Amino acid sequence: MKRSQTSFWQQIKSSRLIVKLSFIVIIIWVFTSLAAPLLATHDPSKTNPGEIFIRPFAKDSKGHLLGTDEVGRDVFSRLVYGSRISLLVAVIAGIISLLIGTSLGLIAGYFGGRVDSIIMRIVDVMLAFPFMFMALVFMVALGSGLRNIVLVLGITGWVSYTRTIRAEVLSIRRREYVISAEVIGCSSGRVIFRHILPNVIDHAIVIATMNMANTILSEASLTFLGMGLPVSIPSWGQMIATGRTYTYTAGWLTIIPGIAIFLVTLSINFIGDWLRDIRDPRLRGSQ
Amino acid sequence: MRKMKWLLALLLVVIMVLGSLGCSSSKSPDADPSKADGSQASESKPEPKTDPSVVTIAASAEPEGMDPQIAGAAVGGNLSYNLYDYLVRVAADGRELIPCLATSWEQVDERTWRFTLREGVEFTNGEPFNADAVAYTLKRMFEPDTGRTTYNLKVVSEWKVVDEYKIDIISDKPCNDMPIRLYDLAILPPKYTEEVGPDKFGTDPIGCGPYKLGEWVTNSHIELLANENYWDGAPKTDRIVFRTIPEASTRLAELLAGNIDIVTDLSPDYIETVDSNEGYKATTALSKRVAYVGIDVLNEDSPKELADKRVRQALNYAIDRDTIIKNIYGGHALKLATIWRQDYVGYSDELSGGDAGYPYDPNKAKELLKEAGYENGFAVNLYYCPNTFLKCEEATLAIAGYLEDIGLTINLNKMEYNAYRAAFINGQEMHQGKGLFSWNWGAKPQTPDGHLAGALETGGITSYFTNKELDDLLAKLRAVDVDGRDAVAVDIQKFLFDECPYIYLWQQIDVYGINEKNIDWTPRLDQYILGTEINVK
Repeated sequence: MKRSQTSFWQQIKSSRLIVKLSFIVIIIWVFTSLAAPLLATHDPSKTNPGEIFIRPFAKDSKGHLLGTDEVGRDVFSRLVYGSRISLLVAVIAGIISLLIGTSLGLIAGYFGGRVDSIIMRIVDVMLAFPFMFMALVFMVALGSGLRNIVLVLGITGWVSYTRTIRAEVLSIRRREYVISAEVIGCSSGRVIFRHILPNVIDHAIVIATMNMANTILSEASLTFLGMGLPVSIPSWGQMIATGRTYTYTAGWLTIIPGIAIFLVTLSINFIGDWLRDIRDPRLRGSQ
Repeated sequence: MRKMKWLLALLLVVIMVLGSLGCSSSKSPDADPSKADGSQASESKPEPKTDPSVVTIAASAEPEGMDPQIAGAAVGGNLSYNLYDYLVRVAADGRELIPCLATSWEQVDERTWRFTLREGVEFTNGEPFNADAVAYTLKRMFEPDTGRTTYNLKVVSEWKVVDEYKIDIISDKPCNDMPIRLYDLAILPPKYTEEVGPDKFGTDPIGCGPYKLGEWVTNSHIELLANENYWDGAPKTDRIVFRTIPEASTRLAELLAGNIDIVTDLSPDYIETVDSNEGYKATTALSKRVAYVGIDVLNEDSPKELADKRVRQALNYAIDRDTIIKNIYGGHALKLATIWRQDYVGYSDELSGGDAGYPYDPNKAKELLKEAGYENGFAVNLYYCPNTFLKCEEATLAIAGYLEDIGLTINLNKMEYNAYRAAFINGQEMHQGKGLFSWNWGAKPQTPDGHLAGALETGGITSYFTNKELDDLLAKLRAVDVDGRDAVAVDIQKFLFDECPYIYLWQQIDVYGINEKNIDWTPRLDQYILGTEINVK
């Protein structure tokens, strides 16, 4: 295993420029999320009808770096607090999907037979549903709110894990070391967790990275459609939803959060691609 | 492969930058892309001009039907006021009563009004108009299946046909303003209406108004044709087309492309854009809609603090209405002291005008809260739906901010239109909403009774307030003789100002976009667009 000998840091150093840039974007994103209260210049929810529609970088901006929105809230502070929400949603929903999807994939792949059929039919049903429709139905049933949107995105996003993990498990299932572990009397749990899981977890992490970008977009879309986060929580989707009315007169209200979503999801995707490439020995030669 | 990705990323960035440039430059009038579109389109697309007596109107929604006793709201009204005729009509500013199918009227005794009807009028299917038609219309209105009794007509208890062109309308309690209450009673042809039943009537209506129905293409347009036999002479405009365009920016674009003559429900933000295009004008008119924040004092699980008058006054002191109107509405809203509009009986600037209202005084508000024993504020829900009134979301968010300034904790609840209406119209029992709610009421011209009975009197459909003194005053306003109404109206306003059943806001100003090259038109207080009032150039 040559990969484990080169450190992660060296891998990044030898990566392409776009990947390095992506890492920088993600670091900034995570940093602003964690340090939001320190960075924000204003209370993100504080309205001020006396100072509405101040343009970004205006001379008389009154301390509003990126301007203000239709009710005088500071766009920069909302953006900073919004990054916190997107990170929170992406990470927690991602973990939920990862746990559900990976466990079901392991079970389906390892036990096979009827268990496999049932799980895979559920996967087929989930895949046959348009995602947005399913998420909207869940949101209507549960009601909007941060906890609910995390739950909904978590329980609708596990399918891709199950499919990939199951396929991997099927190929590992017949390897000698797995069979020998079974022959010497290891329990199913031990075989799965000690011998199979470590060999498929890489796949799960790559999917998790890719899914993160989708989750951020889904959260923004659901909120944009009015079924996601309540108005009191400053999130990027919310900013675009309320700014949409003013596309003609105050374009920055949609463009600024739009750029934020764009950069973060694009960076995550680049990093996801890169992670997949470096763990695939067939592609490593061309690096 | 890698190169492709780079290119793709680069392409996205370029698109984004271009997009942002396009948006930011639209502020300057010279670079305005919509302007260029507008002038070009009107040159290359002359169709709207070829037939000068066609007027095209764009509204945001389509009526559910054209039965005037079922279809309410402004959209349905737009059609009703063209298709049907009424015993009385009102002038555009809502202040003057104009005889129409009734030529004169008199109060016989305190409960009875006698109307003399116009002779020789026919419905478009040939049925004659007479006292029987009026009697039939009233009867149908009070039948539970077909009728939707308006607040104005709830007072009517019976009617007597005196002769073919005279009818007595009788109320169960003394009533001093029956003629204006008949303002939204569209007269229907008895034989035809009975024959086809309510469903068919909603799609194939017959009336005796200045227009008749041409064609109706669902979710596209409704066409009205001039009624050549209208008693007041055939209208000058031969054809009116009502188009349904839900998206405000699309309505604006269609106007500036020269395809539409009148656009309704524009945001004040678009006034500059419309005016900067030659040949187009944004017109504003006072609307009948009065915006306010309702305060639920009826229910026990609404915050108990709201039951205290001083708290409700504090809420009124907390709001800076002038700043909201100036900035969020660009000056296009009229501050009121309470809910009393200029066209209501008993209005005076000293008592009812905006300057007589609660001033913005957060310190006074905090003092009042302290006096009431809630120095540390309290938590309250604030419900709203973005389309309840013009810029409701922005206004509500601003109000929430002001209320937090005096120490309250506001939980904002944004609701979907139908859910919101279901929760608050006759929702006192279900009680899904507890606390404050952004609402509005569009009472008919001249008479405040629609609003008072519907949203303040004990038991009104959106009344979350109850007070014996107010109920007595309202009964008095209906019963007192005409000369005494002013005095009662003054008492009611003083009561409302002191008790604060609402956080008072403003009267809405509607914004319309007009294609000046084609037409000449002045909007009305009641928001209806009458074909007879449009002059085609």
